Amino acid sequence: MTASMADLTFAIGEVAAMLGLSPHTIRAWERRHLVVQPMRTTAGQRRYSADDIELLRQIKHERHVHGLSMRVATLTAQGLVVPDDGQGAAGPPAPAMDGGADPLRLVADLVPEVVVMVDTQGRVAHANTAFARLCEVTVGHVRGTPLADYVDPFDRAKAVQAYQEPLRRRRGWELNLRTARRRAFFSFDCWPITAAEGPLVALVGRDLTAEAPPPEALDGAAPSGPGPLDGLPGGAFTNTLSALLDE
Amino acid sequence: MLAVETWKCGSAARFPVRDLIAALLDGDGPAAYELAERVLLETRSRTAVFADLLHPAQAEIGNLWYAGRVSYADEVRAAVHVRRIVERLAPTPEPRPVRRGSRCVLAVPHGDPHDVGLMMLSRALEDHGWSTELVGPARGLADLPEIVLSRRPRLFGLSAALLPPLAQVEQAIAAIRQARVPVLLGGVAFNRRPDLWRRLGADGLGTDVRVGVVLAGRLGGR
Repeated sequence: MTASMADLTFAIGEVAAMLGLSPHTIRAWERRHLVVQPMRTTAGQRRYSADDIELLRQIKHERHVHGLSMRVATLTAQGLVVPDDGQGAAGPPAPAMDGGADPLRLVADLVPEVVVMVDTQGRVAHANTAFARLCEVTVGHVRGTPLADYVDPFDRAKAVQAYQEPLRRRRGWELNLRTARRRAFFSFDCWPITAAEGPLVALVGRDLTAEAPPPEALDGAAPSGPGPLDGLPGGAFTNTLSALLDE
Repeated sequence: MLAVETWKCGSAARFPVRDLIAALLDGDGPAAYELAERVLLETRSRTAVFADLLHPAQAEIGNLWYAGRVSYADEVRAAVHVRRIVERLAPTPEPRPVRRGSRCVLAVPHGDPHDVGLMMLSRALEDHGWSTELVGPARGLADLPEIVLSRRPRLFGLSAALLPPLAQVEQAIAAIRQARVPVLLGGVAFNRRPDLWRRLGADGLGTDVRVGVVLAGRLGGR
């Protein structure tokens, strides 16, 4: 059997070919910026591991795509700095930190649950990134649109009750949401809140269809593969919100 | 239209990734192709266009989509233009190809419509002397070992953007490796989890086209 990449190490010429850089550049990065410390053979030749190569590739990406300095690119590729424009991270970007942005708002964009706030007329006042992704629009496009646009026609009457009569204290609703590709079944917790713009209803929803979707339902459902929050425990945000509101 | 910064310095100036992102999100196919052709003329390497221009631009657009800053439609439109560019770029055969008869079978899992990355790898491998065969997404993972082994390739590559059932992937990899065919993984689904390829028993992870080509040569082409 051929040796796996996990066991292989690579000479600087191979690394240069993999990265599209010259060996001179790679040596300079090591010498001046200490980005990687490759192993050495007994003859003193550098041998790079798969992890070394991936780090160098990410540094190159940060420099080429974002024009970052070598120092910042290295820190970013190592995950030690999160660029404040939300575009520079090697993995999925952190939410944009606009001046004075509410940190809780940023957290809402990181959780897997959909969070949508509607006014008493049923118009979306705020939505998080998970909701926008589900509906295949941008966060900006969701605002001001009727919640009914995203709810299955059979469940629209239930949705109206959720935002028109929140004080009836029914906190849980199960609604089928409608997206371009599939119908998604969500369990929503509803919370009446008072915001600067007036009374709103916060709907925090967990996807109940996501447990075992048939492969056909996933066809083209996500353009770039699994999201950055894969593996997070479902319901974490809902539970936290419940605890905060109960206090 | 999303505002994309266009300032550039140093090596960022050489590859107009941000200009390409702007053109792709604008739906300006001719401008996007012109940028790709310009880089092809400068580098004389189709692999360089794939690895240094198209792949970073698509990765960035994917990140913008994750952050809710571009829509699904924007992302799909960009992918369509990238596919057209990949199909139109002329081959650039490398002066030192792999040995004759090096054959590679490439596949995407059933249910995954994202095969542009695999198209790029296929064309880059062909530029390096490989003969490649793409197994379409209609084939199930369980069928792959039989298909691969019937072709007797020097390498098998599996690319995924949507994470396939891992137990099936692991079984397929084990069956293919048992027949002494090295397995290379690639695509967003595996790239975002840098250690997954090791756990699945694959031989390597092609994080981009250029890394994939060098690894292919190392694992099966020489």
